[in-house]
Amino acid sequence: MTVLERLSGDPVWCPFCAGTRLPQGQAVIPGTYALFETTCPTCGRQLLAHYPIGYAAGSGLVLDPATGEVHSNESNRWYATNLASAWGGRRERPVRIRRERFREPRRPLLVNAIDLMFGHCLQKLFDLPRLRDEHPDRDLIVLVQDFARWLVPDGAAEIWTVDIALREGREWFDDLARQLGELLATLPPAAIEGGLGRRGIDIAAFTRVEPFDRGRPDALAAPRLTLIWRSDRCWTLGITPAEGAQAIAEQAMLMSSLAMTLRQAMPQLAIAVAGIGRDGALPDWLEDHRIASGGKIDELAWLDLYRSSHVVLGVHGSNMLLPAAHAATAIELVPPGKWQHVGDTYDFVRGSDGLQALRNFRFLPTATSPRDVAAVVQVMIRRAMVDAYNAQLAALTGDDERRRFRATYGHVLAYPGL
Amino acid sequence: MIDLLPVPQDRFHCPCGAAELVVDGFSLPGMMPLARAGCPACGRRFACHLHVGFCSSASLMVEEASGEIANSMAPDWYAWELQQMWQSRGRPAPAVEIRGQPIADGRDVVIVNTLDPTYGHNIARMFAVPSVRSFNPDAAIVVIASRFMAWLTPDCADQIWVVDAPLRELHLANDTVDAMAAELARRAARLRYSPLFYSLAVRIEDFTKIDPFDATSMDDVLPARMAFNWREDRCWTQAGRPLPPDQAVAEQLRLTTLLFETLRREISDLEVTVTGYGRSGSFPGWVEDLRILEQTDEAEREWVRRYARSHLVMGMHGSHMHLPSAHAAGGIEIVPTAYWATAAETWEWVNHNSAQHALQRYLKIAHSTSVSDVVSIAFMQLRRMQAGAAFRVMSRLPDAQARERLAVLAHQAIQGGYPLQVTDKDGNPI
Repeated sequence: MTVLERLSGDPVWCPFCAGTRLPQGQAVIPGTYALFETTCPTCGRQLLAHYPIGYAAGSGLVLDPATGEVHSNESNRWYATNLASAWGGRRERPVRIRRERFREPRRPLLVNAIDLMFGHCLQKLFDLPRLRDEHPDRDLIVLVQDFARWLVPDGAAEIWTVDIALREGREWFDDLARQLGELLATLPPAAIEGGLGRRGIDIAAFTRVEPFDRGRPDALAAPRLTLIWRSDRCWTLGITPAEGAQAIAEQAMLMSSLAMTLRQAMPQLAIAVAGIGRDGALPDWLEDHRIASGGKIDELAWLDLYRSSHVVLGVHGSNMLLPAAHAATAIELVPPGKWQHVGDTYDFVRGSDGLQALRNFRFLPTATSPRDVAAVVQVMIRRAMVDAYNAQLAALTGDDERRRFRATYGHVLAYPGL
Repeated sequence: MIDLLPVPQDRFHCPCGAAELVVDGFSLPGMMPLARAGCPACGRRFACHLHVGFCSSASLMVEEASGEIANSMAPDWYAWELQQMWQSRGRPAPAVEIRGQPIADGRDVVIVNTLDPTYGHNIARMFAVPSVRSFNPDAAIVVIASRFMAWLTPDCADQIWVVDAPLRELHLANDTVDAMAAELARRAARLRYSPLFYSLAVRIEDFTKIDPFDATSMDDVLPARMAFNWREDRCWTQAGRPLPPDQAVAEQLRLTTLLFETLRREISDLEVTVTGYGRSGSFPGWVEDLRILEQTDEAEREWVRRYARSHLVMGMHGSHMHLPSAHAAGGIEIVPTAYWATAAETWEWVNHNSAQHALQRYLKIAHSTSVSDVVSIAFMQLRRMQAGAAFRVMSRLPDAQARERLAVLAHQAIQGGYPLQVTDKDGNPI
């Protein structure tokens, strides 16, 4: 039996017997959920209790396998609902685990980064530096889905990669639970932990790509805007948002309109589009880096585009996290139902101060007129260029050098006006 | 910091191009700090703006004989203000009241001048006072402030010169201030002029003496509270459509009432306070209307007390939103297209937040946003701030059962808001 040590969190109580703490038994990890078998010492029920980690922290989540009912406190109903649904639809397909071992783990600490949302996966991965700092005597083992493997930072003792797609991330895989039970049994006594990235992170530690460099000469030469495309959540203006092909067509029209408006105001502006889905018709002078749905993604090529962008702009979602983390500034267009999530997983800005963040990142309703969006884009470009101007000016020492620099680039200080 | 004695330690070049000006005195006729200087080559005399504030890296001077602006690299509007000031010399000076302690002879004195005809610039200059104190612990600090701004002067100032002039005239010449500065120069051992504008670490409570929102108990979670800061010179109109002033005010009244009533239908315990200047129209009886026509310190303090209890403050973008946003749990500003460039100016107080919290707490949305979207965003942001308060209180409770009780009470707030649709009288979404 593998009992994973808990490093934090409240005790888990029996939902049927007030004040009875549930003892820990065999770990059961069938996917994003991390549970342990337990028997209530008072009522004798055999239950599965969730470790108080990640999105289950502070939730008191307990699954009763006899009924399939999940008990939790009031603050975390969505997670409890997911767990109940996953248990009810347990999958039997085999799961492939690819085990990479970089060194023999000392006092292993398992981090489960499996999830159904890309942003949540990132948030769990963003906690790795904290875990490494707070538990220097332990070696990390990271459990991650195929698509996120490339984002695991260096330094883990082992990485276990599973062939669970993002859309399967909320499901329960009996085969995974079985295999992980066997794997954990081969390790020295291990612990489990995982938060949601509560402090600043260096994004380059995850992507191995440095973000926008204000000191680079071309930061002042030609501004660049990158539009982030997705076909499943589109930029539409209507109070009742359009859907499907109509939404895609409207998004293509709005992006084209925005690009043309900006091009008129700033002829030197380079505009690119990246993302998944090639189903919208865009002007042929846009640099089109989109890939068809299901196509092979070249993340590094996209990252290179983001890091050279003064602004990235797209509809709110986890698809915006890496662009925003690498570009100088970002604008997210937020659909009506998503406002309670703006700024989530923006751990990469935690190193900067509040004012800098407010100036570098904007959240606008999707229904914002293209004219307003264009005005904000222009302001953000100025913001990025002024930052670059100040950074490069500060690096110069000679008076003549500084005077020449001011004469050459002083124009970036002017305020735009659409 | 610029030493003013025996003459301002600042350098200026004559527009004739032949020589550096010789500075032989200074004057402070209100907002503009001036070095008085003459050209040894051409003989002309100039009043030169010290290299502070908007002229920190730009020259700006007025030729004394002609009143013409010369050598200006300052923004056009600022040069215009200097010219206006110069032309207004000799007008009856607005009264100046001295508050605080007397400044003993022989002191090292620093002047912080907050006068400016733009309210946000007044605040920005005032924000520098604590930094001036920390850099100059032994100096006496004299703050020059307008009547409506004086109550925001931090306690660390020794003396306040309160200028009784309307905001729009604060750039004009004030011979009384000039004479007081000259008198101070005669008595001080050292007199310096603070060049600071802003500060990166602003504690808003140092200015208002009222602590911003914090969640320490259930009272900070429930009931839901919001404030709307009203102004009539920049109104919220449907999707930002331009309207004549009186129609714009009427539309703002209609839209804010619609906002409050719609939110109240979703949040039955919602409390709304309207603050600000202008008393046009009236709101439903359950809305607390604290709007005024004439500024008083007590009215503004009362507003700030309301903001500090609010989960959400809203209003059109502008400097009137600084104090509401700086005290409430969260804020939404409706930004007209022309104002995006300055949408986060003078927000230095926000730095007490982490970057991520700042992004989550303060939203700026375009004026073109539909009414339905504005109402929906307000609903979700209000609930988000309440939920944040609930989690903060829970995190301070050691007992899991107490946390659970709180979660049950705050259940609806924690569940969050959702999109709402607002319709016109014909049932069409707006």
